[in-house]
Amino acid sequence: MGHIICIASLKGGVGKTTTAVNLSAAFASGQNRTLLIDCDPQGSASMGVGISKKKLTRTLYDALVGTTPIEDTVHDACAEFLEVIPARGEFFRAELELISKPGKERMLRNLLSNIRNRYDYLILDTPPSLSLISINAMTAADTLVIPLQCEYLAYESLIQLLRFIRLVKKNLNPNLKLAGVLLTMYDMGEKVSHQIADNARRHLKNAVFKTIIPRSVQLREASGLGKPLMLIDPDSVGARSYLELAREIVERGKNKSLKLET
Amino acid sequence: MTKVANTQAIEKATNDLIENVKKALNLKEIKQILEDQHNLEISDDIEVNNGEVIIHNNQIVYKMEFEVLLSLSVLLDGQGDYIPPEDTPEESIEQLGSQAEDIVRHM
Repeated sequence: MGHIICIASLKGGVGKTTTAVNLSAAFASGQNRTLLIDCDPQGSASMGVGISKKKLTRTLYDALVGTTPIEDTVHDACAEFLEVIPARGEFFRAELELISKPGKERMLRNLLSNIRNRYDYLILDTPPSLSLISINAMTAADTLVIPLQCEYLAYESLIQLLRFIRLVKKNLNPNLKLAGVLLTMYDMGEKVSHQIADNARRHLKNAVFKTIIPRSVQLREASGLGKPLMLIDPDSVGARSYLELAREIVERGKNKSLKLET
Repeated sequence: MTKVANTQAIEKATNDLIENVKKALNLKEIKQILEDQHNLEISDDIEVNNGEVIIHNNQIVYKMEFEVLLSLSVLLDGQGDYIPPEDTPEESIEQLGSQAEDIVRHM
């Protein structure tokens, strides 16, 4: 049964979609059947794997409102072993349409149960908000990857997110586990990057991935080209970082649950 | 007014009821609720102080009061004037790190 990973952050621009896209590509490059699920109406993850939103006829919205089977919303992406369920603007309406439905928090989980057997990894890219869609994603997930941009404000939003996750775990998904906190946009030349990374490792210990994603122009540019960086420059630092992250997640998965070292 | 029951017996029964409610409380959960309600991190175990039976939204409920240990401080200068807090980024990061650690530890 495929492992469902939710990439979550309350703050925009922290490398969430970049992580979803490039981590998906990293899993796929290891011949793991991978499904990227775009839960953000901005549809950036969809574009990041080569989907043209204008040509789409079926998206995650159609599956969530019940007009299309989830299987029919799956599209081929830009790499072998990689598929995507895209999203675009109309996904904003999903929130309003789901709000009055019974079991509204578990709709995505129920939909994915029909297809998770087909994949080794299912990656959920979420919007930067505490929305019903975010709750659905966390309720559907087995583990969470939390990108933490190496800046002060991002650290503040991490606390809010952790509190939110605690509520979701308590009320909706007791099996939800933290795969890890991922340090992103790390700049070796910036004092604040060192401060955040040192502090996170000291307090959160093994809850922080060993892998660090550096600030990278190449990663930013790749998303604009509709391809994961791995397909453009597999030897680049950014591409290698995500391969390393994929390996680390696989290793952590073998340990099943993460306990904070003391 | 005609007395129809022993006052002391009623008081004792009420006190016993409150004592039993106190024993049944899940203090770990309540600590969590208080932290979430008031957006604070409680540094020690909480203790239940008093309890009383009240009417809330047309039903009989138990109002329990707790004593919590909080470490708080204020700054004042040589003239005795209050100095508002001005966290350095390092102090902010340290506080946030501690908060995150506490939450992750209990997840």
